[in-house]
Amino acid sequence: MTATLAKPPADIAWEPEQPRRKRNVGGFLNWVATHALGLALGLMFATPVVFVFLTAVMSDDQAFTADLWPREWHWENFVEVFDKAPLFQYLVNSLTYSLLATAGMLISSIPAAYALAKLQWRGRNVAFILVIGAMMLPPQVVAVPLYDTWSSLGLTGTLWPLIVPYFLFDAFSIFLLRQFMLTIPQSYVDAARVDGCSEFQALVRIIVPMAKPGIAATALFCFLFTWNDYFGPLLYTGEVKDQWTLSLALATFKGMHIVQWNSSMAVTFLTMIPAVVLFVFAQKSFVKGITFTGVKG
Amino acid sequence: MTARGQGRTAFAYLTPALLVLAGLLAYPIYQLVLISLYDYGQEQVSGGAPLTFLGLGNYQNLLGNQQFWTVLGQTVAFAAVCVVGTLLVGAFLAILATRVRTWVRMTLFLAALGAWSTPAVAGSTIWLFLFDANFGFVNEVLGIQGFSWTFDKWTAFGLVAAQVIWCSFPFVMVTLYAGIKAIPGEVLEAAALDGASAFRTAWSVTLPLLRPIILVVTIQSIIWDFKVFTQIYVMTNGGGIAGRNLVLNVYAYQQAFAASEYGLGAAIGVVMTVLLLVITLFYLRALRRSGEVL
Repeated sequence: MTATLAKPPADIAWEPEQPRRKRNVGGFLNWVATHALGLALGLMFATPVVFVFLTAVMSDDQAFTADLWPREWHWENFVEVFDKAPLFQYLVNSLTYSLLATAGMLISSIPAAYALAKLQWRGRNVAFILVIGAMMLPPQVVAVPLYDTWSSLGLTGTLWPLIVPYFLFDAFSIFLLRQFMLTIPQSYVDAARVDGCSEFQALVRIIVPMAKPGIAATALFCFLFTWNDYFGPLLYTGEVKDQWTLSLALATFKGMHIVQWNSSMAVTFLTMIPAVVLFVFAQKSFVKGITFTGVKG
Repeated sequence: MTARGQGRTAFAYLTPALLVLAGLLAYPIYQLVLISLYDYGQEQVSGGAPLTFLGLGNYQNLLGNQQFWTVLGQTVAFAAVCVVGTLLVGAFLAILATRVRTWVRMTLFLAALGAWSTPAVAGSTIWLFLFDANFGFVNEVLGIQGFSWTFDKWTAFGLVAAQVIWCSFPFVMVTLYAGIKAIPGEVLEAAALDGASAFRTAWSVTLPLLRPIILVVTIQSIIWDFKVFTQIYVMTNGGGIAGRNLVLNVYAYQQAFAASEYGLGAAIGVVMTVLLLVITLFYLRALRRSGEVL
């Protein structure tokens, strides 16, 4: 197989990215309607987040009222919350948990997903159903025996019981990646095999580049899930304050500063920022940069 | 590579996952089932009373309880509404995102990301604020001050469902968007060269290729929406007036922790897991019957 790397052709019928100049009036109206709808829906779905932001910059007194618009803009709220709690420490813990877990997930789940999507072997369906079954167990159910296991290893009170499993197994990511790999035509893998690629080479050179949007999405989901995880950190680090993550600290923020809605919302808003930054990076992978043109002899 | 060679590679790739499945998941399930067979309450935990083996007593108790069946029905209906709503909203926005300029697409994605990265507890509280009977933004806009969304059983369910859809549509949207973007360009090019219209290409080329992705978002949505806890707990204040907004997960929590009936709570957990598994297996089977690659 000669897989020639090429930029996607600039003007293809299926990518209505560039509106053609010579479109008729109906086409133009359609374009305006599509964009207006997109913008309106985007703003509508963003309302609750805007509300978080507006409350975060209110004065202590006003945050307690039903007002929607701040009378005065208290930008210092975003700074003051750092005095009220060791947020930097929590941020470091959250980043450690989310980044390591995401890296571990990629290492363990990409090969597993490949085995379930592109390899033929007996027991594949059974393994697939086991993976799906694992997703259905409520985490609360498996918590107690797992806690016992980690406790006997002396690792409770740290974030390691949450991170290590991702290096071995994450049912959700395996399932998601498998489905993304299934969308890649089997002929690409077969061609690689015919050309003498080992399974590992076929995975690394053919499947991973082609499944890049799916891998980026899965990594984003894994990051967001661990970033927002409340139950896990509560269970393992609830007693050890310097191991807390942001999401755990956020939940207790209301308890520590009972009447301060603005502080609570300021922390909520700050917590969202890393996810947005990560997304900006991840979304580059969504744009097709590489296309394999042609499966030739 | 030979089939046997592929089997060996597959096994090597899956070994860590299978080890975890066997060691860390099978044991908890075993324990869960075991607890569900005992009368396991506060007294037994503290050692004040001996453990009594009930066999299927907890299950009998549960299945003979009218409230369980009501809650089960509500859970299935509520989950169905949330799943369909999430899929429709997410798919619509994903398609919209492929058709608009970058700045509109970024607005859509940032809204999605904001919705997603809002912790469930904070999100539920914010929605309650926005829909507050007297001071809420929504009632002000609609001019219906004083109307309580959470008082009536059905508007309460509706409000929670809307919140659940709001925080789960981003998953569907981003996944489908990534799926559409991952389709090899040449496949679509070929369709275009063959003279297929945009609609025809979407229907006959894009959709079939996206089926595995649609499967994953559907199954995930079913699993998540069947197990909704935080939103119901926060927004209807623990399951609504007289428990009329209860769903199974909250019900299990109430039985297990509030009423200290751990055995009964475990039995509900087992029933939920089995139900989910059955729903999913039926769904997979139906797909396979219609000749789809899973």
